Amino acid sequence: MTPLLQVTDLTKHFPVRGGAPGSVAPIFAGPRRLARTLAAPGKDPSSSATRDSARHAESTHQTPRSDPQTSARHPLGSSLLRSQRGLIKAVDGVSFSVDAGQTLGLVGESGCGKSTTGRLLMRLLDPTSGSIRLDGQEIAELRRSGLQEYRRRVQMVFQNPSSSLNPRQSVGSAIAAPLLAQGIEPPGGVKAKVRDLMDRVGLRPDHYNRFPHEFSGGQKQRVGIARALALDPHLIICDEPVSALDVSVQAQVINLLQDIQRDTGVAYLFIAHDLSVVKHFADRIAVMYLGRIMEHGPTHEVFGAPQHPYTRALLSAVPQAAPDADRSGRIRLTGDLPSPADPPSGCVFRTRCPAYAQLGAEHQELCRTKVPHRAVACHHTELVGERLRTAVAATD
Amino acid sequence: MATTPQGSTSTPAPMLDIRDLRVSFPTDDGVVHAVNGMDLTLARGETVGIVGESGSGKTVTSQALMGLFKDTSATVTGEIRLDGEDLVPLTEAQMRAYRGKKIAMIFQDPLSAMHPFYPVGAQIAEAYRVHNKVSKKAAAAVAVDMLGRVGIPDPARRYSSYPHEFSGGMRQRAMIAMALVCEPELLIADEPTTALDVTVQAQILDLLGELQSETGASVIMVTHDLGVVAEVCHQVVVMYGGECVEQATVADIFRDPRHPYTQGLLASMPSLAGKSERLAPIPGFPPSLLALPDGCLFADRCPQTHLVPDQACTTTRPTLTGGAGSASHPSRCHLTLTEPVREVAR
Amino acid sequence: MTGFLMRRFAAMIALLLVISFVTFSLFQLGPADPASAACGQECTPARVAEARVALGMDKPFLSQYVSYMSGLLDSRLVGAPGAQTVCEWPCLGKSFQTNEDVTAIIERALPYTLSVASGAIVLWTVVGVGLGLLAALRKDKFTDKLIVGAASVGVSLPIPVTGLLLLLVFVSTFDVLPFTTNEISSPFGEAGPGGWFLNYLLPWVALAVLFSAQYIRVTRGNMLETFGEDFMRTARSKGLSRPGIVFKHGARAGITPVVTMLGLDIGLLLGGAVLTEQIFSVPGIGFTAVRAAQAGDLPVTMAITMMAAFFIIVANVVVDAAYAVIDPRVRVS
Repeated sequence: MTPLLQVTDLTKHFPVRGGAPGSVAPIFAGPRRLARTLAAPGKDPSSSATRDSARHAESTHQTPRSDPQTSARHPLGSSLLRSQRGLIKAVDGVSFSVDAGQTLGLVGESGCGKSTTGRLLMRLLDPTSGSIRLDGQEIAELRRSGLQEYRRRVQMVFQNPSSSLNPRQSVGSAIAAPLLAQGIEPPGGVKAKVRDLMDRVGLRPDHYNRFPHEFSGGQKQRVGIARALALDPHLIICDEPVSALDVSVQAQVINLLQDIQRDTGVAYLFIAHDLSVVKHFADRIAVMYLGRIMEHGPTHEVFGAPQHPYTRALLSAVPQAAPDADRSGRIRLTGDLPSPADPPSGCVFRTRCPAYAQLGAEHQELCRTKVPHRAVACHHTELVGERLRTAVAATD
Repeated sequence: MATTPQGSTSTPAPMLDIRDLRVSFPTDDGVVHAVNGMDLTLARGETVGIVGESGSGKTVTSQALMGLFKDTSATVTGEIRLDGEDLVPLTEAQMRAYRGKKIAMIFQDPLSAMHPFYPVGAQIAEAYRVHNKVSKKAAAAVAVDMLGRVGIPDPARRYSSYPHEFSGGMRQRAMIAMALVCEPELLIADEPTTALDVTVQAQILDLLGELQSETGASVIMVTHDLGVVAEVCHQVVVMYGGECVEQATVADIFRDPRHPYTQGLLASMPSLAGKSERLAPIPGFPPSLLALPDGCLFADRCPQTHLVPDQACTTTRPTLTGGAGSASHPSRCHLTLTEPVREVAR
Repeated sequence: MTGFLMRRFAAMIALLLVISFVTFSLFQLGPADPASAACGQECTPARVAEARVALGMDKPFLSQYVSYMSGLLDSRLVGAPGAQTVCEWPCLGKSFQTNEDVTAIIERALPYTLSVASGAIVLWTVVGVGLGLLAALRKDKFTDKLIVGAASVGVSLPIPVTGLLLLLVFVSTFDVLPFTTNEISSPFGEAGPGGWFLNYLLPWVALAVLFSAQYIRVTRGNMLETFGEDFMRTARSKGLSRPGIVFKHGARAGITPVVTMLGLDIGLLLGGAVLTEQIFSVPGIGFTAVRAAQAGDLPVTMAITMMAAFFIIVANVVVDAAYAVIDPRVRVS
């Protein structure tokens, strides 16, 4: 059986440029707005998506030039006043698949390329190379009409429900927008369909003519979900759909997404940094680091018996809401993420790998060579478990 | 964490004692009652977590502790006793001697909390010079030393870097250095790791623990993440609608949550350990802080109101009861006045 | 930083060339016929044609432009063949009206404009930024409302109104200040700094009323935005005193946009304060430009337009550089 979505060797490179303060416009804007303008000019077609993640990205990204999310916001195209300085490998040969009705969780820390991957799949960005197949049909090369048809089948839910809704558009017309854009007249009319969608996501019919500012964060996210459902898509890309919400509201939205999947059989690509949420939600997991997938497999395997040292470190860093949990044997990563413009050769994780120092010279040699595509992107899967125990014992 | 959380509720004279703290702001829509009766005691060297969702009043409480509402239109009443002295009646000028010196604060987003135009080191040195009469050069040396202590490599060189040139984790380290440079007795950390990635969060929490055991400072950890609380705190205060609804040791709050809101919060959290059961969200929304109900603030979302006789939940505001002398820790619920019913509501 | 300035400089030259070309084309294609203007009232078609040759307008458009621009590099000959005169470098042509070198005309007018601009700039910056800061510090109090109210009035007072009012009150009615004279063009002349000051006080005030009002609004708005920033809360949390918070942390961030606005306004004003110079009869650049335009004196109008563009573009580059100095985030590593 072919998977619903098959991604092979997906790659996106962004040119790195010096940030010349080009126009006078940002200068008038005052420091805060200037910072915002520098971080997110919002000129590319994915601007609504980028602004969603801007808050998170701004607060966590590295230096402005080394963050692929920042660079993703700069429109391509040459300019007299800017100079190109190399490439950021935001997504570097990523392969995975999503089966119909299933959920793939894409996890990783900021700058790992998970959001860029989501935007590539939505074709808000054009991939540098690689293949994206939906139901066996290649979509990486699609243009206009083909893309419109594709977007009927793949929809997106964004992180920040406040900025992904137009404040001057009523909730009803926001949900109806995809239907109108695709020129679809559902049986019974658009309004009936919208009311049905609102009912499905737990919004009351009298919310139809209200505006986003009258809603709480959780309700706004319900609107976003209803809008994504309007075209009965086969796949919904959820980019951090609950990370802006409070815990109790987050649970409501997670349950809603699960109910929808049970009822409609839609598949999710669930992009998130919160491992607890992903574990709760996903059937399969792909862990990303510096634009590559470190480990992927069924959730219970990846979280139950992680093989890759990065996955192990990531899992052991999550604070556990259980005071008597066993906290020995923790793996702590040191240092910062290397620049995606200049990633380490071979295994990209080796510079921060806690097991690396424990490996002998001949094993370290192997780490400097490229890791082939496989479920666990590590040269020494068998060795690291033991070496990590040594490493942890040494630091305790 | 270098220190292991341990249960200890009563020290003879708590270093910090907050009694019935209330904060309200006039707005165009009416008076916002952000904090409506906050009680908290904190012993020297301990860490207390203030947990709550947005609008629960946890951040306003921490800012009231810093005296940041002095000279504003906000009204602050109640008592905030630090080493026995009440901070509420102090003037802005008097409060200045405490800020940075005895109480220091670190913020959620270190990028916006640092001045974008000044080098990181200079901002730390400035914090030192406010309370210590030393030359600029001497203060710079202290700042470099402090940067090294918070684990910033090559501190002498990084002294002159600007905040935007640091990574998120480094910025928060620098922010911690800035807060601890005058060796305060009380450190308020307002969501210090919320903006950070999980591996960096682990580093920062470790660092805070190490520095705390070095300096013996007390810490107030304001967070929405019960996981962070379980990792670093001794005590927890759960806030809802500007009230403290439950105060307990970390062990007790997870083992024996007494307030229905705390129970709901725990049930709605997905967990990394254990099986993935369906989450049990708390229905509804927090109360409007503009018009608080007469009864319990949680009543309209509470699944257990039918267990309380005479509809007391909607007519009478419960008080914080329990604690010293009684079998259980303090909780603001009518049910704890009667016989406790501790099923997790489904 | 050097690379950045080099790129800006190259872009500036390119932009100036484009602007000069566009300006040149506009004057060529415009309805005014310099040739008939140059030959005066009693003109025959033959004399117009003669004038056309004398002005070099019989040549193709592009070659006219190239020959005009070459004057910026070296002195050149102008006038009809046989009656050519030397136009010294830097040559911007000769006035149709007086046959004087345009460069000399500008050199004569520029000190007046500098006098008007310099004092006005100092005055409005001090008043505008000072009152804007004060209003921000006293937000919603009486002082704030008074300043904001005054600024609203100031913004809506055009220079002709303020100018004439000032003349009426201080010159005609009370006679406490002199009417501006064109004998004083610098504080170092015979009249001395005092005479210069009194001579230009009224134009300065007229300009400052309008500009201060704008600067009050911008300063106040930016300061209030800055006061709400997280780093201001941090500064307070350190235990800094109020002046330390307001001036060291607040003002530097809040004033930055004002600095850039000031740079651009200076650039604009050096191109001639047209209305002010008209009303107070100051023979500066703006005054000269108006006279030249009315008379269809193409070389003078053209030169002044280019000079104004030059000042504005230079101001833009200076502002960008200043911004990079003030805000480390803008610096190119």
